[in-house]
Amino acid sequence: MNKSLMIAVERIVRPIVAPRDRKQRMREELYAHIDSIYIEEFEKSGDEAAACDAATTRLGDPEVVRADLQVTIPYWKQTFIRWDQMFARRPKEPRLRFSFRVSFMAWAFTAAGYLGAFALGFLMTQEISLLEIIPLIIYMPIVFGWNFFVIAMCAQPFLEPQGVLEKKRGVVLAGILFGLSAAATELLLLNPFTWDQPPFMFFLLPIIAFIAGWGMFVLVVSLFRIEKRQTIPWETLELAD
Amino acid sequence: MESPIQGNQVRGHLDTMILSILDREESHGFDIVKRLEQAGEGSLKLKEGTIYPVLYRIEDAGLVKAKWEKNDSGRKGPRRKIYSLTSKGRKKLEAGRTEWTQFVNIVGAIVGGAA
Repeated sequence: MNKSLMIAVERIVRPIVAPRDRKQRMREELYAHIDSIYIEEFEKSGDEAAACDAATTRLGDPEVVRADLQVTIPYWKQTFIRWDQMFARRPKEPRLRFSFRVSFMAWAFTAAGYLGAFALGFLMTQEISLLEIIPLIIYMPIVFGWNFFVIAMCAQPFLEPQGVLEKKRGVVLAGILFGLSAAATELLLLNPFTWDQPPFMFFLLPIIAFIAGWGMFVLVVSLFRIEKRQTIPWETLELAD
Repeated sequence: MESPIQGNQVRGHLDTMILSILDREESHGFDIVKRLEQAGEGSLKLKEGTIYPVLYRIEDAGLVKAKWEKNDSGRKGPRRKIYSLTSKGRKKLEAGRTEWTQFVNIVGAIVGGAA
């Protein structure tokens, strides 16, 4: 593939907020098109650089084409993609910073969910039990710490796969974690919280349920991200301006 | 020689023009541009990348369908999407042709000074 032509295409496509498959299709179609123009221009002039310039000009103003392509993506999809991008690793973002940022967001969303549930419970019953809040206080630091640990450990092999984990193994591992989390949750539901429970019930089961559940979530998200590999040759192009 | 018609002058009609091209034969993007320019006898100059937003829009609307070109075509190079008209697209094309005739009759009469 001609790198100069790839860059011309990537300049148009990269800033577009769109699902990855649609962006990849845009890249391939625009590249096929500009490649055809290039061949035509090269046959006329015999000059590679001139043919490349002519091909880029004929494709059109990148900003105009980009704006027109952006309009073809429904607003709800753009909103979803922007939400998803919050959890993605930013270009050149250090792994620890990425882990901290995502852990904090996951912690914040989880805490907001718990507090929302408590508020709803309070509105419905007009009373709130300290026993219901204690697990929240105990688990919240665990949530943050675990998220940070998992993401920091897994970010490299998953987001920049180097053959460390194969997809099939990831699916099996996600299944095992799901089973573990489901079993621990089931045990917890069968044994409502009381102060006289043994430490196993009080600490271990919720932690297993959470860790396994979250681990599965991270794995599944990561498996989707592995699918990105085909787009990497495009996304790593340096668009010098 | 007549001054060429630029793409932005035909923007509102590009959907119908592309449907009309695809009504004759299924095509990929580059071929569609070539055929549009040939039909314009050299007077129509498009910025070629601008046809893809139109193609995506009319595909999302169900007026055309697209499939990746098969490898057995013997062609080397990047793969291309082949667009073809759907029955909904054919109906839309008929409606577009009627609208265009009305447009030409009305605007032509005014601009041409007959009104």
